[in-house]
Amino acid sequence: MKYSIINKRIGRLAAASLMILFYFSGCKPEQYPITTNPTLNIIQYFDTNPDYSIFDRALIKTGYAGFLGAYGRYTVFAPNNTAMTAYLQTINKSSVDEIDDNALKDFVSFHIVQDTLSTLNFTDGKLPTATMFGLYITTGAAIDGGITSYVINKQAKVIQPNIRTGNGLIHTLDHVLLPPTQTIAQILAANPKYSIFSQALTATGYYDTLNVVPANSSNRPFLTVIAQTDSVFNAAGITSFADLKAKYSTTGNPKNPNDSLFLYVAYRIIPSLQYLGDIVSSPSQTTLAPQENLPVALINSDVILNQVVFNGILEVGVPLDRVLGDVPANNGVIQSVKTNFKYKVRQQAPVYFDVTDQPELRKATSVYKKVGATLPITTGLVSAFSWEAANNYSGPVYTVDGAVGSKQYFVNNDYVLIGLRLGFTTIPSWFETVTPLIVKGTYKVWICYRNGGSGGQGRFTQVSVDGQTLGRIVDFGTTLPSSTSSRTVLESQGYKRYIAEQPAGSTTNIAQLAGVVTITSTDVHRIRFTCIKTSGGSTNNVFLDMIQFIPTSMSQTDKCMSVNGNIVNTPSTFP
Amino acid sequence: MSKGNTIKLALLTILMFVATSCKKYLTLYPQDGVIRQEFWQNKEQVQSAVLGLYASLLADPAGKDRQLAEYMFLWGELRGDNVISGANVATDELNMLQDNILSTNTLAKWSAVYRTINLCNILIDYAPGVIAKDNTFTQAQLNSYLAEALTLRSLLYFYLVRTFRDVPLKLKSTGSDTDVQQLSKTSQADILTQIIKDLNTAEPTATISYGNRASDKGRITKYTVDAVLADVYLWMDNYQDCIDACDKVINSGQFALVPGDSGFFGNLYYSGNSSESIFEFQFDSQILNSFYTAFLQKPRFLASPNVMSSVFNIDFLDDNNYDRRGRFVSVNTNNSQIWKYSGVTGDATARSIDQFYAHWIVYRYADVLLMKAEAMAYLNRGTESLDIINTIRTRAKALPATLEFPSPTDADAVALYVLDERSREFAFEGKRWYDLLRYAKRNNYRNLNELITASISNMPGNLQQSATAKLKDLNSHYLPIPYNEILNDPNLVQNPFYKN
Repeated sequence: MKYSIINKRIGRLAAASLMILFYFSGCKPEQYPITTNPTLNIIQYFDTNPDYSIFDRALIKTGYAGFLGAYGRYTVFAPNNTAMTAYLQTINKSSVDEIDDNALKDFVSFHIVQDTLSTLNFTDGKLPTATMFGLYITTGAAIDGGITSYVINKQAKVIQPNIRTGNGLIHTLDHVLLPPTQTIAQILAANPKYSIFSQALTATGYYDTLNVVPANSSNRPFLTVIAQTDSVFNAAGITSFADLKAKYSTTGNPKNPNDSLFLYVAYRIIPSLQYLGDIVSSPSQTTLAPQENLPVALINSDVILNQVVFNGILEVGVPLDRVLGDVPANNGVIQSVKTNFKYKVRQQAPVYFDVTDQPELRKATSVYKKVGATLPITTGLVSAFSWEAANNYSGPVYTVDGAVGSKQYFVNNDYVLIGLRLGFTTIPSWFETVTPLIVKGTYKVWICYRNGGSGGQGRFTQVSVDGQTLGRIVDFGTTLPSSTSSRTVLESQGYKRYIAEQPAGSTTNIAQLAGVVTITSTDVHRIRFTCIKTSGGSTNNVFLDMIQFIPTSMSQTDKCMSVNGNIVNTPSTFP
Repeated sequence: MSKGNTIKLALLTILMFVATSCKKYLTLYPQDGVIRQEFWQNKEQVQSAVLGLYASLLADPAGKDRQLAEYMFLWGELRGDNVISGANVATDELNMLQDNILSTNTLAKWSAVYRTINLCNILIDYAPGVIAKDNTFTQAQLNSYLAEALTLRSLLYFYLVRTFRDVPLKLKSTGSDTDVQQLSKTSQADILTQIIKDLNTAEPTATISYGNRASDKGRITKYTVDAVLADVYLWMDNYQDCIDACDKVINSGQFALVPGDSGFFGNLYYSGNSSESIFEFQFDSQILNSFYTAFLQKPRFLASPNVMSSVFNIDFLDDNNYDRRGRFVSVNTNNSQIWKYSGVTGDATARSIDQFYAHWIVYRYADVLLMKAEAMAYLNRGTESLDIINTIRTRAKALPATLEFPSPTDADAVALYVLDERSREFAFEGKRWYDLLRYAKRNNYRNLNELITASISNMPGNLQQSATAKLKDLNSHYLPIPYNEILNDPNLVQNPFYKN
């Protein structure tokens, strides 16, 4: 019995085995995908699309095909076969195989960026990342026959943008991109439109500066030069280089760094790569002229240099030429200006900076200068202000006093209430604001405020300008030490009165000296108030009204502010 | 009976039950809903279907899509000049503000519109059959309901053609998978012809009043049909027909401008359903609008600084001299927030989160007046145009600084004044881009520059040149066909601008 059961089992097992055997042998091998992701990589995309065969061949020949087929993040500007054929014709070759390896590598690498950049990243300037060749390419858009396309490097149109592959993006071009082969100096010298400006470059010795290629000499930055065409010179009454020299060269030797013509040229060279799209994105540009910057403004889509309000007067700036500008060179870029401008010598002048005079606050019409109004300044509301992030801190408060002169004395009757304490999670420990334009030179910095009583607020506040710490610790809790001391005595102690209307007996609104600062460049600067010690008390707020930068060469106490914002002579009634 | 037999018997019994219940098992009816064959039986059901159309305008029932009113705001304002990005703006929204739109941008999405269009189609397809089943249902009642559906469908198609230009025109309902068609695009002109035809069918049979204020403002009336007609005719540069349609609304005597006094904000925007209103999306405490997060809590959008300084202008000398539509109506001047949907009484007081049911105003009387003024400008009736503009300005106590003095015979100049006045009157009401486009495209895009200047005015300096070049391509004025729709429907052809 037992034996037969085992036999039966063996029989069944054998039958099942046979069935399995036949079943499997009768089956065709199943096709399983052997990749985890069917998306093509860049090089596979080129391999499978015959329209890119010539560029594909170039990639293979240079060995770039290797990494474009592997993991990574790339953007390839791929000229199609029409573009490549046209290019080969211009260099008299019949195929990419005839091109020298190094030249072909340069050519191909100028079309590849090691970053994924879709058309959403395109601006009117350069791409954020350089090509593998080492130079940047520019983007833009242009309309042709009613159809707008993206334009790369002013050389090629994008036919098909944003082709997504496994390791990056492809933008198809209708022309090839060619890296610039000349330096700024060479391009300008070769262009007859810029003959006067070129001669000025040679005469001042800047030709050599602009003729260095960063790739060949390390530590040399890319440069931007703001050139000027002969016709612009002519419009300014300068018809030849001799005229230019006669007009500006003060020492007769343009190579002398103190010569005005030398500075004239130096003021037009920016020691970094600045396409128009970059220029408009920053408030000012440094130049090779010592400590002189070019303020930038965008007015009705014109890029205007040097338009500033200085000492209450609007200085009209000079517009850049969008058509002639953005010419790439292998060591930088050439911009062109529409009207003549020269190195601007600004005399040092006092800056009376009413902290509440901010464009955003002016537009808050329901509170600006409205008696008794208050407005918490949330992050970003006033672009000039910043402060340490603090939990639940609603921001400094723009405040307007009661009836004018009724009890307190503020310029324009308004001030900012700033929380300033150290070691409190709910109160920031620093506050910073951008100043108006300050001409380079040495200044005494006066902090004008109303004392907030004897609380702990801001008793130990350090003031710094552009990170440069000033000498004295400002105590926002203090009043004028004496209502009877003469202004000379007070000044020697580091105090002064700053509001003309304040009665001599009142000591609440005062200016306190923060120290002496040397401003090294004519530009806007940042001034920061940092609490460095907490001294008890329950209030946290500082009443900041004004910051004065008065040149050390001037009298510090001759002028006062009126509550309506005018600068007046200090009243004789003050002691 | 042995054990084995018992099991066999049990199995057989189960098999018998399973086999016999098979039929019922396969034809499954929903347990918590009504199917079409059981609906469309009486007039009450038709009415509830009509009311459902309006409910569908408010929000996506699944809660996965943006509200239609939000799309209308985004499409109508982002590419104009009155809105800038707030700190919490989303990438796709920022890209649209900067005219950097790819076909994958999620704001180019029309499902919210087509959902209601399909509901309109269902009603148009099945409501006529009810007459045979319900003897108390009259032909007049049916026509009135059909007029509502036709008008709503026309209004929605009008939004689609102004936003996407050429879109699929579906006039039959989709009730099951077999009804799904892969349609190709119909041209804007053909859709506009269909819209005019439908509206002219609806106009004579639409109701004049439903007997209560809320329904008159929240449902389609004869005057809504006329307002939509006027808007469509104006878009088609059919000026005389536009004026005729406007006159029907104006001469009805049913509407008046809300006075520009202390109750202005409260009546027109906070409570809604004002005497000025013609058609509104009526949000309520059950279905809130989505503007709390968009405009107040963590604003994704703010008013451009130009809105106060140049659109409305500011009298720095006299605080009481201000445009009633500006401070604390359109803009919270403390912080540049968009205030029409957040304010309460026209000061800095904001609605609380549970009070965000400000209505979305689609048409109001001032709109009809200004449409008429715009049409008149092109029919040598400039003087009358200027009179209408002055009526609007007087109501709002507009500042002298925003006065313009066009020659009444210069049609473009008068129409530009209307355009500027509309920017003040309808700030943030989802009209600005369509107004700009209508003005720009007229007479073969003679005034394209006006649109470009406005559109790039708030863009960063390093994008303005590209944006200018893009806007010169007329195809760029319309949004791309939504990416997913192209994938689903091979007959749809993408707007050529978004191909290169």
